[in-house]
Amino acid sequence: MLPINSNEAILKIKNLNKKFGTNEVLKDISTEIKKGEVVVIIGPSGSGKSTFLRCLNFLETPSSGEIIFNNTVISSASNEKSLNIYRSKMGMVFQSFNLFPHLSVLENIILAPKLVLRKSFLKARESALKLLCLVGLESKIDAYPNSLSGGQQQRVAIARALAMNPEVMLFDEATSALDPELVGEVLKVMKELALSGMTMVIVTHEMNFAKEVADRVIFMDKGLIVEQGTPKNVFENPTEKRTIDFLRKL
Amino acid sequence: MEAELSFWAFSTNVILPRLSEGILVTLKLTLTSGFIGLILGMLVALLRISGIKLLSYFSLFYITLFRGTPLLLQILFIYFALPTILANYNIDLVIDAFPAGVMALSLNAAAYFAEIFRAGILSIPKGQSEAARALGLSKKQTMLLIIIPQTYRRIIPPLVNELSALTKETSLVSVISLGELLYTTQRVGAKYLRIWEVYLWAGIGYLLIVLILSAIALRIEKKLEQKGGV
Ligand SMILES: Nc1ncnc2c1ncn2[C@@H]1O[C@H](COP(=O)(O)OP(=O)(O)OP(=O)(O)O)[C@@H](O)[C@H]1O
Ligand SMILES: [Mg+2]
Repeated sequence: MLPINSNEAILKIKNLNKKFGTNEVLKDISTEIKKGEVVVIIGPSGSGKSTFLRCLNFLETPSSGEIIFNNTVISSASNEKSLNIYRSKMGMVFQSFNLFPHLSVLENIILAPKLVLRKSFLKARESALKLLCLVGLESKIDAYPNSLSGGQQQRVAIARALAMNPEVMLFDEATSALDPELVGEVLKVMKELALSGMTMVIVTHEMNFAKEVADRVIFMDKGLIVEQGTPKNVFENPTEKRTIDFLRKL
Repeated sequence: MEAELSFWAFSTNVILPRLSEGILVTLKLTLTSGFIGLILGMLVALLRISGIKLLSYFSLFYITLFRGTPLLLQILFIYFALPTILANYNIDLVIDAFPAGVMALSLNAAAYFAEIFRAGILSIPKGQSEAARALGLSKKQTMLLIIIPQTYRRIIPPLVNELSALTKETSLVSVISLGELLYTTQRVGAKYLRIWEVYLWAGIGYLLIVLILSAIALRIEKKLEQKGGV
């Protein structure tokens, strides 16, 4: 769909395995994500999509395997400090928003830039304002999360992640917890972000959205990448039986 | 002569001046032990959830020990037994009644506070720490700036309960002859042989402290409620 900015891989995932006890949730997953690429992951419940995303920013420590981020190897052997720095470059948006309820919208957004990037309050506030305009919520700068609708909260969460100038954005079912009438406003922001050239890995059940914005669609099942390709290939000419079954049930 | 004074005259001339000294000591005991207990309790709670086995077991041992034995025993132990144990190691330590009382009460309160803090911390949804970590915050920053501040409102009611219990438990320190409210009450009662009047006023004294603490807590809770309702 969109031209990918370069062929340079920003993330190389090598033989990623994740077990919870004896439950193998990710089985030897390898793939690359290119700079500017928008990858959409689809698959049935329990297939390991969330776990894969969470391993990408080490919220979950992989059982084995490594991730190469711009030529830096990140693995379970990496120290805490370098993991924190790595995470700060990977924005993540959750299904349940996870805004900090004791902080105002502005405080939510500037907290990490101040603490982690050591930005001054004024600098951090300036970029927070820009981001709030981007997501259409500049009027809510002093509001507390509980006074916002789900769609507004999720847009603030996106602004909060963007405030760290991440190189990759991860979305884990960002619209699944929203009332249907609020889904559109969040997808719109995500689409604009995709158009701006952000590298994105998106787990979603919104297939139309996937068709529209994805450069590549990955179908996962039982901890494996079963099939991947352009949206056209995966949605219109799937070759694997499991993909065909999954898409038929939608 | 005092035996003939009316209730009000005896109360205002004799009981209240004496008991107010006792109340001050009780207040000092409560606030000092409460303060030390809170800090110690937070530490014990953090050890308990540190994820480091040794520290977590130590914390569990501490909590079990201080909640599983009578406070009265703990007070007597610290005041009478501890110096004799230390003497065996040639450490010459005489603990006065007040520091001994503060020590026993703080150590004991810390065990109860720790469980309140732990429950408060565990009650915060996991998504909160995940969101913070995903932004690059360290474990420590996440705990101090994201998790703990969200526990304040939830833990205030049980903390106040505990503080009220502590206020009343300070009376146990009377066994080591510390002139707090109960000890003073007993002395005044014995001296003038007007028993029910002194105990009545002592009861009112404890009640007042507890009510004032609750009122302060309620105000703090209201303040926090205005800020995001967390
Ligand atoms: N913290 C955990 N501890 C134990 N098992 C887990 C944990 N997290 C996930 N799992 C298991 O891993 C498997 C994959 O879960 P995951 O959440 O990654 O699936 P998913 O593809 O995101 O599903 P959904 O579409 O329902 O969100 C499931 O069987 C789940 O029970
Ligand atoms: Mg999931």
